[in-house]
Formats: sequence, structure tokens, C-alpha cells
Amino acid sequence: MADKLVADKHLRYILNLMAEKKKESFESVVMDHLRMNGAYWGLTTLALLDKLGSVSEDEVVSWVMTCQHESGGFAGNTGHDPHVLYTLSAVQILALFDKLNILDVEKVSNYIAGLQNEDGSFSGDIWGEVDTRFSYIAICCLSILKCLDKINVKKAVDYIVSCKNLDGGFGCSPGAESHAGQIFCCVGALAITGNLHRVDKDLLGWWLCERQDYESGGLNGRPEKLPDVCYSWWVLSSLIMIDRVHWIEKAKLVKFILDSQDMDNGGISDRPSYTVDIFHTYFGVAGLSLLEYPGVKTIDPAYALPVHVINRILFTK
Amino acid sequence: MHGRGRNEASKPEETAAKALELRSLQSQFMSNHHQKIYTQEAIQLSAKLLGINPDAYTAWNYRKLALVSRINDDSDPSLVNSIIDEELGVVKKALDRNPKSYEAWYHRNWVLSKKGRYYTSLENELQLLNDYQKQQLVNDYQKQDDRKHDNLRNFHAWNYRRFVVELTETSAEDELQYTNMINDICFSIYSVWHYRSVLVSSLVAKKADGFMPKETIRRELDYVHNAIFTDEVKQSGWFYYLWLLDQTVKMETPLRFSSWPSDGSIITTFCSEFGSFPLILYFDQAVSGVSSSTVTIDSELNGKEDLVWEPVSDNKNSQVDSCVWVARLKFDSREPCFSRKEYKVKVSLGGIFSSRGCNLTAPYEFVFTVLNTVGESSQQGIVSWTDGFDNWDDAQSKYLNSLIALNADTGFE
Repeated sequence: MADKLVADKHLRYILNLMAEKKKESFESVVMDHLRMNGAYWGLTTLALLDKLGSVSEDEVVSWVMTCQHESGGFAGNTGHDPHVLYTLSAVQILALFDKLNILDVEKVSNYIAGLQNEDGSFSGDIWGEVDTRFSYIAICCLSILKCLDKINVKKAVDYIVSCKNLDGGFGCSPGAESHAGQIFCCVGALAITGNLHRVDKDLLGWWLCERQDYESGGLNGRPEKLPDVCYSWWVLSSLIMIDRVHWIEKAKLVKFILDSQDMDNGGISDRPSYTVDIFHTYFGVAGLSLLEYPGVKTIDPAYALPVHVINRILFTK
Repeated sequence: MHGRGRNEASKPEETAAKALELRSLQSQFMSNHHQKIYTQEAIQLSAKLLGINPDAYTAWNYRKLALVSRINDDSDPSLVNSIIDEELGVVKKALDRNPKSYEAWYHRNWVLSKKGRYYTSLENELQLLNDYQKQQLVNDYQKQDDRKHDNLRNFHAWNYRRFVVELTETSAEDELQYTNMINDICFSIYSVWHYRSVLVSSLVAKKADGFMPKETIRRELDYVHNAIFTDEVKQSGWFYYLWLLDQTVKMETPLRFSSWPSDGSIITTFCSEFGSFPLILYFDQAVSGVSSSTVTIDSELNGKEDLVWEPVSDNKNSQVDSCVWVARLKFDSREPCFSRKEYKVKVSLGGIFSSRGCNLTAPYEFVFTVLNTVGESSQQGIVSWTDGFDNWDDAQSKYLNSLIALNADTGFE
């Protein structure tokens, strides 16, 4: 049972992960290809705890740039192939450090814009997998780079709306079932492009608030599944964007996240007493930010970056 | 990253050895990939890597490049088949390791999209999927242990199923039977209810045999009642039930509309010779079938010409459903009937249907008056109207009228 956020323990957990000695564990090697995502999760958590200064900005930024491919996209780690998943994380990391100016914006935005298909959807890379996750990524990334006009926004929005299901939620493609992660992506993309009126907020809000487990207070991703800390982000941010967050019991959810901490070694897991990882540590802290937990900086529910970072981008040239 | 108990860590020396092996495989693979080496040995190495680490996306890209380098449109069919078998085998091993690997599922999809029509075992693909999905169906579903391979809740498998169904042109009716079969054993799989809602909607929209809207909703309501009575704490059936109730409400609601000019209003024309003004019908649901045979005008104003009704929508095709329909009512002061100062126009509607199957159940009509004041005003090309809102004062009416200038020849721009 935990009654507070052990921020200093999480800080140490993240810094250890980013240091050299941890890189040769099996878990670390198997996640080698998505290090860019891992870096984004770790660094954003540090930023939310106001501890971004604990890492070497130059070291991180220069590593990020080694992951850029000649096509303009970024890979998950040096030597891997480019993909939009890692391109967004790279741009988000540079945004955290206020280093977007080192990017060749034309090159990166052309890479993303080139992945839009005829029907408005987006592929993840040249191999053609289509998923609304990639629609969100493209829209979020191009919005941060101020190049949304490079894509056909109307078609992109229409494609996302075609993935709306009869329960009010969204899936990864037309006909695919509703899932909280996809819902976050679709609602986030609609929010950024000013199209939230295309969402049935009451219907979706009810589906989302029904994710809360009465006993544990945790949220699941779809009916009949177990609660998981990462849905504290995906469900919660979606509810905030459609102005229905008051439909869940916030105090119980805070307790579920706090109980999922490893109080000794730091880090947060998917649910109490399970193994911690950087993914759930980020989503736990981000969830607490959305729940206005004291000591955690505010995060933007659509861009998934601290509000002060987004303000810096949107309100300057 | 999900579902691992906190004290489940393996022995350090085991993980160090595994880490070393994987690191070595990854280095060798990267070297092959960057040098574009597609020998049998190199390809097998990538398979070994993917068997241990199914999410290593660059290795899946490599295999696609390797496939493209080995076969093209002129290749021998038996070679193509054996390569497809090989790829599907690698996917299967990867899915055994991680049944939720986006990359593995997509690779299967990609291989069959590219080369599916050459694949002699394509018809087996749906059967393989059925077997995969039903693997644990006989197990106890009351235990919600997320760590079991929960194939029927695996949304990747359902997405892949929709792809295979399209590729093999399997019918929606057959797929509906499949959902019946699963529900007969376990009512609480949301993916099945979602798929059912998609199938039922598409069969109703296509007006398939036995799937008229009202009979389908009634049949489905009986069907979902079973699920709710059997297992009332599980959410899945309830969401389906809510959707059905929503359809019922929509179907029973009568179609409503309003018009401009509205019933009882007075239109004043100031125009000197001739012109037209719009007749607008606004429905609360998108409708089709608005034409001069369903909308009749009874007035001396309307000549022998039939009115042409157009939908107001992005799509200018007149077959499209729309909530708003417009036609232009022409008037010509040179016509003998125009010498009278005022006359009534009666508009009658009937036989118009919405896309949900609702219709105007009774013929409906509205009447408005046209006042002709030829030569009495210097305001050329202005049509004004009063629409019977008694609580509007003259100043408000005049203000509104001054804002609106209708072109005498063409009505609204």
C-alpha cells in the first residue's frame, strides 16, 4: 500500500536504465530496436518530475540524430530502419530539450507527408502497414513542426472518422474493434485538427468510464480485460479531451497507480506487485499528471508532452 | 512488458548468456541487412532472430526485401509457394513467442497481399485462423488471467480475419454463423460482439435476404437477451444491447422536416420582370427520393415545367442522401396570371424515405403566399418575406430584410 509518489526512487530507476551498465541485460537487448520510444518515455517522465536537467542533453540529442535515416525518418536505434513511431518520439525528445531548430524540418515533414495514402490514412513506413496510430503520429508530429499543410487534413480526418465504431470508440482501421489506445490516437488527432465535433462525446465517454474497475480503481483498455496502469493515460487523456473526465473516480485511480510503484527500487508496473518497466513508469506518472497529483507538472493530453513545452512551440514562431 | 510478476526474474547467468547470444545475432543480422546479403544462410539467421525477438521490425523489413529479391511475377509457381510457406512458418514461430506482435501479423498480411493469388493453400488460411482462435475456447473463461494466450480476445487475429475474409470472398452470413458458434460457448468476448455489430450493419445496409431493418433488430434483441441473462456481470452483451436499443429508437422516430418558405409565410417580390426564389426542404435525417413526383406544387405560379430538386451536399450527385434539398420556383411578371396581386402556393410531400428506412407516414403539405409588387419599389432584385413570427417587431424585420439581397434572376447565390 502506498500513499505517495516516490519520485526520487523513480528518478534513480530511470537514470540507471539510461546508463551504460544496464544495456546488456536480456530485457534491454530485446528492446534495442525501440530505444527511441524508451528514451521518450524516460525523458518525458523526468520532465514531468522537473528533473530533465539530470541527463546530458548533448549526449541524448547527438544519439537521437544518429538514428535519422537518409529518407528523413528516424529509426528506433542506430542502424535500424526508419518508421513514423520513432520519428515522432525523436521529434518529441528534441522538443523537450528545445532543440527542434537542429532539425531539417523540410526533410522530416516530407518523410511523414509522403506516407499519406489516397484514402487519407497513413502507412507506418514504406512497407505499407496502415493503422490509425500512424494517423495520430503524422498529425501530432507535423503539428509540432508546424507543417500540417503538407498533408490532406480533411481526408486524414475523414479516414479517422471512418474507423469510428457503433459503440462510439475507434479501432485501428475501418471495422476494427474499439480499443483505448486507438481511441486516444483518434481523439488526439481530431483534437489537434479541431474536429472533436465528429466524436459522440456522451457515447464514447460512457464506454471509456466503464473501463474503471470498481474494486481496484484501475482502468482497462476494453471490456472484460484486466486493469493496467498504461490505460491511466490512454483512457484518461481521451476523457479529458472530450470533457468527460469527471465520469471516473479519480481518487481510486490515483490509489491504483501509487500501489503499482516499486517502493524500494523505483519504477511503476502494469498493476500492483508486477514487474516495473519504463513504459508503465511513464504512463503512471503521466496519468498522475492528468489527475493533478501535486508535484507533477501538467501534461498536454493530445500532444503527450508537458504543457510548458507545447506552449513554447505553439506560441513562438 | 505486461503481466510479469515482480519476483519472477530468472537467474542472472541465464539472462547474461541469452543477452550475449541475442546481441551477436543482432550484429550479424544488421551487417547482412546493410550489405543487402540475401543468401540462404543470412535469411535463416533473420528467422532465428525473429523467433527470439518477434518485434525486431527491421528484420521483418529485411525478409520482405529478401522475398522481393528471390521472386518476381515470372517466377516458377512452386518456388513462390515454397517461399510463401517459409514466410508463414516464420510468422507462426514469432506469434508463438508473442501473439500480439504487430509486425508479425502484418508480415503475414503483406506476404499474402503480394503473392496470395499464387498461393495454393489460401483456402486453408481461414481454417487455420478458426483453429487458432478456438484453441482455448473449451477452457474456463471465468478465469481472467491475462497471461494466458487469449486468442479470441486477440484483436490482431480479428483484424487479420477481416483481411482473409475479404481475400477469400467469404460471405458475411457465414461469418455471422461463426460468431454464433463462439457465443454458444462463451458470451463474454467483446471482439465477437463488435464483429457481429459490423456484420449485421453491413447485411442490413445491403438489404440482404432476411435482414430487413425491423426484423433484424427484433431477432438480435432476442439473441442478446440470452447473453445478458446468462452472464449479466459481463459488459460485452450490454454494449451490443445498447446499440440495438439505439437503432430501435431511431427507427421508430418519425421523419420530420421544415421548409422555407414556411407554412403561413408571405413572400413579397419587388422584381420588375422575372426571377426565382428558392424552395428549401430541411429533413432531420438524410433522405433520398425528393423529386417532382414526390413533391407537388399546386399554384398558378408554377408553369408547366417540373421543378428540379437538388441535394445540398459536398457531393453534387443527385443520387446522394441529404438533409437539405433545394429547388427554384420561377416567376415571370409577363405571364397573364401575374397580374393578380397575390396568390397561394401549396406544396405537398409524400413517399420520401430516409437512409434509416423512416418515411413521411402521411402526406404533408404547407402553404405560403406570394405578393407581387411590381414597380412599387425602387429596390431592384430584392425579395423579402415575413414568416409569421408575431413577436418580431417591424424594426427587426426591416433589419433582417436589409441584410438579405436575393438576385432577381437566380435566387440565392
